[in-house]
Amino acid sequence: MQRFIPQAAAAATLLALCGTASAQWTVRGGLTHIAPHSSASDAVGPMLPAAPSGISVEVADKATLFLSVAYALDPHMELELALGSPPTHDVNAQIAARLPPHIVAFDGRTLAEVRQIAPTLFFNYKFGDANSQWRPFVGVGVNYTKFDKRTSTAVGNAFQGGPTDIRMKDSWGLAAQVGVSYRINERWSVTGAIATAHVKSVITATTAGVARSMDIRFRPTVLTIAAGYTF
Amino acid sequence: MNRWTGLAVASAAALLAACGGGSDTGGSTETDTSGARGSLVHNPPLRVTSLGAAEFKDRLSESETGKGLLAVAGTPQCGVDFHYIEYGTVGGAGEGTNASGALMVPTGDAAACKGARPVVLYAHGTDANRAYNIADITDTTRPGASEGLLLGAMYAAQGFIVVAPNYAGYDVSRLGYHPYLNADQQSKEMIDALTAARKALPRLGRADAGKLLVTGYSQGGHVAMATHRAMQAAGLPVTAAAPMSGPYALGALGDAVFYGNVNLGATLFMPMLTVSYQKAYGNLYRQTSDVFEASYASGIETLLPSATPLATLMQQGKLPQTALFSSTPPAPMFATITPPTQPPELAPLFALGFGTGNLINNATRLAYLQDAIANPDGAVPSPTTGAAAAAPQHPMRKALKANDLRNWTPRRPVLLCGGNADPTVFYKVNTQVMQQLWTAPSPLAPPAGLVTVLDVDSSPTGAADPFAAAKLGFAQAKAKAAQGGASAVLQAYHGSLVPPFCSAAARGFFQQVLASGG
Repeated sequence: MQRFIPQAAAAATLLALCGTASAQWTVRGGLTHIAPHSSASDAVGPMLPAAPSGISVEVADKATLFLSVAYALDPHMELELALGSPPTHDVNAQIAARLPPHIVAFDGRTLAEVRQIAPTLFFNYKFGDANSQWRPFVGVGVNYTKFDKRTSTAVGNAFQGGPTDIRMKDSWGLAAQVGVSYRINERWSVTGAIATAHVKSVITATTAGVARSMDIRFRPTVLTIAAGYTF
Repeated sequence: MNRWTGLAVASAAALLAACGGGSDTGGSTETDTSGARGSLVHNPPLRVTSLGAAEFKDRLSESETGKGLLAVAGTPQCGVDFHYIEYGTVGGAGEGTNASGALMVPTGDAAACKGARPVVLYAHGTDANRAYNIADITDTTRPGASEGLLLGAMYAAQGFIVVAPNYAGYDVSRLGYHPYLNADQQSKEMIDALTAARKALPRLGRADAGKLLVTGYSQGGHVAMATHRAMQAAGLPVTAAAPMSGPYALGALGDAVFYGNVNLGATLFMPMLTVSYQKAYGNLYRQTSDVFEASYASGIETLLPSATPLATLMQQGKLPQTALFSSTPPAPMFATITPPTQPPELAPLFALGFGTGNLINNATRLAYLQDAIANPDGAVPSPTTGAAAAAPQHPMRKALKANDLRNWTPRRPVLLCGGNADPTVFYKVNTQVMQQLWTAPSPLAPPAGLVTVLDVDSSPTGAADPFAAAKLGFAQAKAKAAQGGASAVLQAYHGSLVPPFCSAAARGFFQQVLASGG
């Protein structure tokens, strides 16, 4: 159940709001491109090369479907819960060139695939007035990231030395975005935005009882283009 | 209705995303946490590293030690997968515990590397470092790495499957001490490691050819012989054994040390031995200060093996460098052996074992010596029957006798290898004593030809000497070490000069036994 709590809390917040004001709901759907810009420490744990181990990973870019629901508090301020179809990213090996050839051979290869669910609640401020065609906006918010599905690839298992269980810690962090929306008519609009968030996690790979881990930080660049429909 | 639509969509997305999560390991793993003897905790076990034959050769060529090893072991014919096994076993008092070790598997397409392979079961030598892991060769500075590389080069790269336990009390073992030179526990643990490793082989797509070769060095020489004895008694097949430089006649070695022939390394061996036997038999002391001088007594029961390097423990004053006994005789009659001055070539070595800040108190040495005089060993101080003392009374002497291997006759070929000037495990009171016991007309003698004894520190007997290469190689290595003086030879003798040449000789012996249909 715990995994639902953040989403439920966000939904409850919105639910509470909808009774209190004569408000407008906007649903946005589109495409988003996530460049995670990950930076992971060298892996630590038993039976790795001498520290620093020279073994790390990089999380690859991924495009996915975008979905958000926004609630306008007034003509300028809105709360927006951004979701989307959870993307599955490749996790690629980054191996120091000084390591032995049989280890370096894995450099750049996909060791694992991880799916992330990253609901983000933004407080957006929209410039211009309600009838402006172009309305730039800025937003700050809170991101929750859960790496809900992790798969060790055959290459990953060959690298780790056997079938490998991968765990990643959940992350809470601040998020921000800037964007602009273009009003087509009373109902429809198009929005483009660039967003980022602080995401920190720990990856633990356990192979036959032997756990190796690394700290990983993300400074993602999330580019989104979406069509909005206001109710 | 509109206001609900968005929320419903958002919730649906969140719910959708939350299903089907978790970790997919990309393969199946069996876990056995029963702790039963010979259970393999993780199957397949972790593969620590996988080296192709060429890469293994390159790896060895990187260092001087590696080059030396390459010269002795030969160019790798096979690649080697180094696996790390964790298994269930017992402690010194029969208590259940776990331990870890290595399973090395030859790889490659050469006929000598694939299919069912003979198994070498190897017992390692004394190590003070709790982190000892013979499976972890990734960094040669780690404890166990050099012995692991030696095994890999000597055996696995030549087509043998290798099983080598780290021993209970080391690495991830939950046992808070090591059952050092406990013949019963150590042979059980060797069998447990072998049983566990055999469970892993099918998962690794490999097979045991049904030939078992048991070997080990130093402490492991004793363990190897104890394992051969135990397996033979249990009716488990052993093809051949090659114990190397081991303290087989433990009672004789113990008496030699207490008579003042203090061996190099005694201040490490004695606490490990005392604690091991206390845990097994419970009667060596009521408190540690009964045996150890007060300055060491506190904490010595849990000191070894240690995560702190031995040199640091010595600097911290937790163990003396070499002073096992006081330079004050425990009684006037023992003045001539405190320290002994005979034979003159060994007097300087024995003298190191005496001094201020000594480890074992004089009351213990006195009681031990009185029992040694009353109930003498058959080999020490002077050779009589060669057998262990008939009825020792001192608890340490009783414990040593319980683990003494002078009471059996092998039924499969045995090579005993060592160097006659070994300052750590004396050749004369171990290898030679066993040789005499196993030679007619001794009642323990097996059929002639079953036992071969090799002193690598001797000249080849002629062109037909099958061990000429080992002897010549040893002589070269010894001469090289001698450039640093006699003390350099002494320091290197047991730990680095003898092992590669005895190992090479053991491999040759095993290959010859296998070739003759062993």
